[in-house]
Amino acid sequence: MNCLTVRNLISAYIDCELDPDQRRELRNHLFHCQECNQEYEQLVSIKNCLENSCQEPIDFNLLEALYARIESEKIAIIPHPNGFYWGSRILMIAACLTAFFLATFMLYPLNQKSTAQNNLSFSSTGMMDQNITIDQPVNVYQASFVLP
Amino acid sequence: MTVAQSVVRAKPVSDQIASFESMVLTHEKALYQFAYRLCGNHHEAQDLLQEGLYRAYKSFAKFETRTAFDRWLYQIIHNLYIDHYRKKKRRPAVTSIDEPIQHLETEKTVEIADWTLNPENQAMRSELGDQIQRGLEELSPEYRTAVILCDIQGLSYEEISQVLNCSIGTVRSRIHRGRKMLRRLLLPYIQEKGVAQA
Ligand SMILES: [Zn+2]
Repeated sequence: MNCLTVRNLISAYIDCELDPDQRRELRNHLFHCQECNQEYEQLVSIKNCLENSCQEPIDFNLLEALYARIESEKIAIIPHPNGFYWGSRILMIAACLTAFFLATFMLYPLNQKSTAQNNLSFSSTGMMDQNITIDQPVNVYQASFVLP
Repeated sequence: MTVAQSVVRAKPVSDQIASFESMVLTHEKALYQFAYRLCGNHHEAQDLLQEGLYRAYKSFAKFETRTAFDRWLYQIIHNLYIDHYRKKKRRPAVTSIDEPIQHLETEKTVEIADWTLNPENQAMRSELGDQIQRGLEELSPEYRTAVILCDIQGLSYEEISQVLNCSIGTVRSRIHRGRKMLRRLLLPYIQEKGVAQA
């Protein structure tokens, strides 16, 4: 290992980030080379200096500040509470029921029963072989099936 | 979804919030230290940390419990810093090791002359902190982050490479070059005061 290689690896050596072989070689070099050893000592003192730098205190409540902001923006961490599912389910059922009743009223207008019976009575003469009694109430489907 | 499923689904919300809070409380000092060393003042550090934490909270559902919470936040904070705070810096970032020698040498001698007027131990320690901060501010953000994460936050090269999303070789060279730049500013002070030798 020459001086140039050693100097490029000194920081990694200080941080124990070299593999054992490189580490051994570098240690031997530092033992014999005063210039590289001086470089090593200086960089170690820089690292120590940073490691020993004083901790800056926090003078505010981090979580409180966070929740104040979230409260102001109305953000939820998981945006689907259970109510959402039941709410949508009830809406779906309500929509189905509405559609059902609408369809029923369209198919069975209140004044249609008598009209259907009248229609049947007009054509009843040719329909005796179909076993349909014209006096009984007949719904629209049966009427359309029966009528020519 | 059945009622049973919805109960199971509801439980992690409070669990998640509780674990988020406990992780914040565990790491808040280290995170603030990181933000402070990046920004160099309490006001910006507070803003940066709060913004980082807010982003983390919003995407906490995506946080994988296998990864370390502090490293995840270091990454968020670093990215925020690079995105939003870098532009605010008045002075252009130093990118070459050789370039800033003269500039640093002259600036440093003036500052050290001022500090020798104030010989108390406590004051010296905070002076050292200021000196370190000035030194760190001379580094470009990438170098600064690498050095802070290694020497102040105590992360390994591999962990730093995950935070900075770069190779271990890049981390190694950034730390080495960053330290050599810091040496120009800090070494005369260290030798004069005899600090950091213990
Ligand atoms: Zn040598």
